[in-house]
Amino acid sequence: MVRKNIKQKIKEYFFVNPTAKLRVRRIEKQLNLPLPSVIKYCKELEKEGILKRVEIGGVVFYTANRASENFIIEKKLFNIYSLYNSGLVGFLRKELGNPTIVVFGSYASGEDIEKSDVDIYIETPSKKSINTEKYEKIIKRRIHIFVYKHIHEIGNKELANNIVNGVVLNGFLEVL
Amino acid sequence: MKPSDWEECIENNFAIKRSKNKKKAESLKKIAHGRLSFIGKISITRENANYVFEDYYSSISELIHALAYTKGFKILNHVCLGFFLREFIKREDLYRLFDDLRYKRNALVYYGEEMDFDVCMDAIEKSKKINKRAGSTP
Repeated sequence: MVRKNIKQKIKEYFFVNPTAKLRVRRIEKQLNLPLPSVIKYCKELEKEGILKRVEIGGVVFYTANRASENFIIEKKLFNIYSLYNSGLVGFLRKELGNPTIVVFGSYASGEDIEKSDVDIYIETPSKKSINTEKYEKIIKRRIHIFVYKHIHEIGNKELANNIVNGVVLNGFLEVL
Repeated sequence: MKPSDWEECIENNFAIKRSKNKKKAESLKKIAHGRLSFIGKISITRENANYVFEDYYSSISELIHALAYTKGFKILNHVCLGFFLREFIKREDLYRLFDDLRYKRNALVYYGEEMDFDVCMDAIEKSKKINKRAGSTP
């Protein structure tokens, strides 16, 4: 159990901070974890393709292996889970009467970095203004919400295509 | 316990197999149509929209119950009404619409969460859509 938690904590840190380059001692301090475990699990995560080692001036740093398929798949799942776990999906359902909710763009594809926005499409006739500040703090990303009554109302073709290629978090997206 | 499909509805007696009952089905249809005719005459305002929606939902539920009677089922919960549409009569489109309305009606009736007028009007339109689409259901 403890083993899983430490490894998971390191993994999640790099999912949230994919461009961070940290030495093991920094990971130890930042995440408040024992150094031998950090060394052990960073090596394991490197083998799994989640992290990669970079040497700068003879010093070893660990960073997210953003080109690895394993990293992208796990990050994608982590991102989707984070949106539910933060309470954002439940909040939007309650506030807007069970709308269709789609996350799209880099966050949905697991390719987001620290500066990326979480792009969320909401299909609702409601004109209620929504404050997502609380959830931005939890998921450590800015949230950009696109509200339309129906996907057919979106004039920007590229935006509509991005939305239909996203992940439906609630409801059903009817295109045809 | 919330069932997760039609099979669980049957296993847990939320849907009970009975002999087909056309008389009961006709009676329920009459009530549903009477209700629809009544609410059709009401002019919808911001004040009454949620209540009108509740009546539309009731009429849909009556029509599904009626359909279930003609197929030989008595259904005791609303989740199972949805699964009946999805898995027994194979109308995924009706299920999706109905399940969304069920969520909205639950929020209103059990949690006192009134919908915005625009959301409510949309729910009423969806209710009408179900009634229209259900017309093509055998």
